[in-house]
Parts: sequence; structure tokens; C-alpha cells
Amino acid sequence: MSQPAIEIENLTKTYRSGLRRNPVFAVRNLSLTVRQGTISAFVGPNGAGKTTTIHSLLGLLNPDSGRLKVFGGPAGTAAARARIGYQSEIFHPYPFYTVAQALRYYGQLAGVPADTLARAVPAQLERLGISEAGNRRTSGLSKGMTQRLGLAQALLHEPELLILDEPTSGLDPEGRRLVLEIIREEKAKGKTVFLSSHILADVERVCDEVVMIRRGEVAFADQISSFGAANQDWAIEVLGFTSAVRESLEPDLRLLSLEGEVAVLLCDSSGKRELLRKLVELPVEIGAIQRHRGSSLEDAYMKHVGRA
Amino acid sequence: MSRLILLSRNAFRGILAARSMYLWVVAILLITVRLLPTLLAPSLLPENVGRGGRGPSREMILERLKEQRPATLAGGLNEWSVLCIAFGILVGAGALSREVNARTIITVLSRPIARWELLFGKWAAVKVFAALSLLLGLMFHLAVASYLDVSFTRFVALGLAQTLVATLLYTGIALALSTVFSAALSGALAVLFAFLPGVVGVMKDYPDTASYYNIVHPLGAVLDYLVPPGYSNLYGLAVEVSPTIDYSAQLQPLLINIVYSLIFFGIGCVLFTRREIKLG
Repeated sequence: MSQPAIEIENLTKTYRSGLRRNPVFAVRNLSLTVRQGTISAFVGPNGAGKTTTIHSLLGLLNPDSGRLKVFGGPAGTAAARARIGYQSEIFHPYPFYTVAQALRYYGQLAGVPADTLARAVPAQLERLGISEAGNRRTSGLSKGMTQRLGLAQALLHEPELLILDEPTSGLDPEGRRLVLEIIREEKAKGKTVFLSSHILADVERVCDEVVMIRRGEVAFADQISSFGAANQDWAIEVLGFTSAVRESLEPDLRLLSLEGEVAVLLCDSSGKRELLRKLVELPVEIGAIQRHRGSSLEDAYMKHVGRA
Repeated sequence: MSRLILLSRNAFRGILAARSMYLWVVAILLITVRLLPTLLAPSLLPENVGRGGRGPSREMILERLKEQRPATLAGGLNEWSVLCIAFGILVGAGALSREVNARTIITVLSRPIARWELLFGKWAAVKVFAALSLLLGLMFHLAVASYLDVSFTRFVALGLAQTLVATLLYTGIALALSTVFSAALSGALAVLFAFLPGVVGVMKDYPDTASYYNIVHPLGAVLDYLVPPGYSNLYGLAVEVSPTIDYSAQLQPLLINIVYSLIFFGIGCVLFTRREIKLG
């Protein structure tokens, strides 16, 4: 079995604030694992500790305690960073470079050979839809274009792990769709994506797993497929649901609710036809058939992370 | 090596983009003002000056000014060199904090580069800026010397070497301090370091009275071991007709300054490697 792309065990990081230098926990005993080849979302409100965790992974911050690994090796080393492409929440390029020059510079820092860069820079500009801005100074770019440039530099050296901090913030709907498409493409190439985001709709659309963090602690973690928008379940309302009917449907019965003789049964898409065939043969009436929308990611967010 | 050149080039572009070349304009204005009496005396001195036995005659004043030209130019070169060191401190102290404040450092440090490489790139860039400043000053003074019919001897190279090594030292100190302190504090402390050799000299020469309370002399003697020799003005040699020069005496402080600058840079690298990049 391959090493996890990211492995964090009991990460704790405190900052000191105020005159008395009181410790403030940014992250407390945080543990998470990101499997290779997946897109994992890191979700939480502002100040929850997402950026602190990411910066600890990059070696920009020194954790108080805990163990951080990238592809099995210690995080924060040059070797680990060589395998990472990182886009910060708000990308800050050098203002004196043009877009193409900035990309070349970041590519050279990552050790990309000159001939590869000569091909990769125009290709990434094209991919991110900013080819026309190639000769423009980065200081004159809009927020959306700067974000696209930030993603381009993260992708340039074809890293195995992409750490993206709010990659769709500041983007118009078209830009958002493009970025999500690129994230999916990277996953298809076998890359791992660790995505920090506030935009739950984006998370639901592209991610495989979600880790929710609140006040520096993991509040919730699950597969995205377990949420309503992604699951393929159907709900069938059955009238005249007696104990005899129940016995004849077991052992495959998935009962969502039962009130008197009115039951709501669950089945997945592949089992829907078979269940309906059985029900037709039984002395029951089918009241309704509809897609079952389970709890959404937003519900989970509000339950585990939200202040409400 | 190519990464160091890349980082240096980028840091140098950052220095130029911060409009540091305005410093050169200020320096040329300052030195020009200083040289103005020497340059303009023949045309501005009234014809009737000194007539009637009141003070020296016009010819005597002009002759005296002519005699003073070499020393004036040597003094100008010395002042320009001090300005170069000040520019180095100013630019060096701000090089790292500029990158942190602009938050460009985050993406750079997420790349597989060592922090010492980034720091070295900045040091080299500041050094190149200081060296270019010195070159500009030298060309300016050579042009003025040619106009005033004064010639520098080859010993001007000694003064230039002193200045280059001093900029290496003080930019290294400023940069090392900026890994832990703000740009302003780092600059101020580096300037303090530049003044220390003179202060230490005075302390060391303080009479050793063996008094219980007299700690000035022993403190000066101790500091003398710790404080680098720093900058000393050797441009006077460049206009002397036949100077006597003890080369080993001139070489020693240069070497000591180089060693000190490497030590300070090393300390800066260690501090910067351990430092957290907090962006608030």
C-alpha cells in the first residue's frame, strides 16, 4: 500500500499574543491523513487553523508538537517541498515581472529545466486562460487573473501533491469552473490535491473526502459520497406496510422511517427496479418515488463547525 | 549555483524596483554641493578680493584652492564611500522585510530552496548595488579630477577595496539583523556597528588608571577583540605624491572584515532558518 500523501499526527501550534504573551491555540492535536490520488477538502471558518496547518506542512511555521509527513518523509524539507505545488490564499507575485517572467522564475526555482519551461509556461498560461496577459506586468492584473497565475505557478513543475488554499476565491463563475476542472484533471493524472476552501459547493463538486476543522481541532471527517448531493439513493413511500410485508422484504430492507403503516424505504439506483417489482407483488400501495437527498455537506458544516 | 544567481538577480530587480537608484541622485547632489567651491571659485571669486591689503589676494586664494584640490577630491571619494556603506545598510536592512511584507516570500519558500540561499541572494544583490554605487562615485570623481587637472595614483584601489569590504561587512550585519528585527531597527543597529570601531578606539586609548571604577579602558580592550575594524579612509594615499604604504597592515583589517562579514552572515542564516514566517 502506498504512503499517504499527507500524514499529520497530533499537530499543535500556539501563538503568543498580548503583553503577557498568553498562548493562543491555532491548532490543537490535529490529526489527518490524505491518501494519494484523492482530492481532500480542508474546511473550516476563518481562524480555524487551516492556513497554520498548511504553513506547518510547508515548513514556514514550527509546530509546538506533532508529526507531519509528506509522502512518508518529514514535511517542510526541500525534498518534500519539491513534490508540492502550493497556491496561497491570495497569491502575491513580484510586481516587477510580467506574467510569463513570473512563471519562468517560479519554474526555475522549482528546478524545471529551461527547455521544459519554454514549453510549460505558454501551456500553463493557455490552460489557465491567461495567455493574452503573458506580457503584462503582474502588478496590473485583476484579482481573478492573479489567482489564475497563482494556480499556474503551483502546477508548473507538475508536482505530485497540490496544496491549494482557497483557489477559487476572487474568481468569476467561469474561472471557478475552469479551476475545478483543472483540479479534476490533476486527479485524473494521479495527483493528490489538498484543497482548503470555504465554498462548500466546490468541495461537493470535486472532492473525495472532507475534513472539517473548528478552533484548531478536527470536528468532522467523512467521504463526500456519503452526502446527499453525491449519493444515488432513492426513497420509496409505501402505504400498508405491515409486519408481514416487512418480513417478506428482509433481509435487504433499508427502512428510513415508519409511521403507522406508512414506511419510507431506501434503495440505491441499481436495486430500485428489483424493489419495485417485489412491492408490486405485495399487498401495498406505492405512495411516491423520489431521489433521497440525505444530509448535505452544508448541514454537516453547520452541525459540526458552524456557530449556530 | 544557478539558483543562487537566479535569487540574486531577482533580489537585485527588487532593489531597483524599490527605486533605490534615487539614492544615487541624492549622493551626486550632496557631493556636487561639497565640490562646488572648488569647481566654481575661479569664476565666482570677485576680481577685487583682497585689494587694499585686506586679506589674501585673489591669486593667492585661487592658488590655495588649487593646492587643496587633491585633498578635496580624496575627501569627496571618502564621503561617497561612506554613503555607499549607508546605502548598503539601508537597502540590506529592508531587503528581507520587504519580501515578508509583500508576502512574496511564501511562494518562494514553498519551493525547494534553502533559506540560506534566499539570504545569500539578497546579500549578493545588495553587494552588487553597493559596488555599482561605488563605481558611479569613482567615475564621477574621475571626471571631476580630469576637469580640475588632478590625477589619482594607483593607490586609489586600496581605498576602493576598503570600501567594498566595508559594504560587505555592514550589509551582512544589516541583513543578519533583519532576520530577527524590523528593517528600521536592523538598519539602526548596523549603523551603530559602523560607529563602534571609532568608539572602541577611544575607549581603548582611555588612560588606564587602575582605578577600581575605571572600566572604560578594559571594556574598550575587550570590545576591540569583538568589534570588526570596519571602514577606514585610505583615499588620502591616492593623491599623495609618494606615499609609504605598509601593505600587510592594510591587508589585515580587510581580511578580518571579510571573516567577520562571513560570521555575521552565517549567524543570519542560522536565525533565518529557525525563524517562522508569520504573516499575521
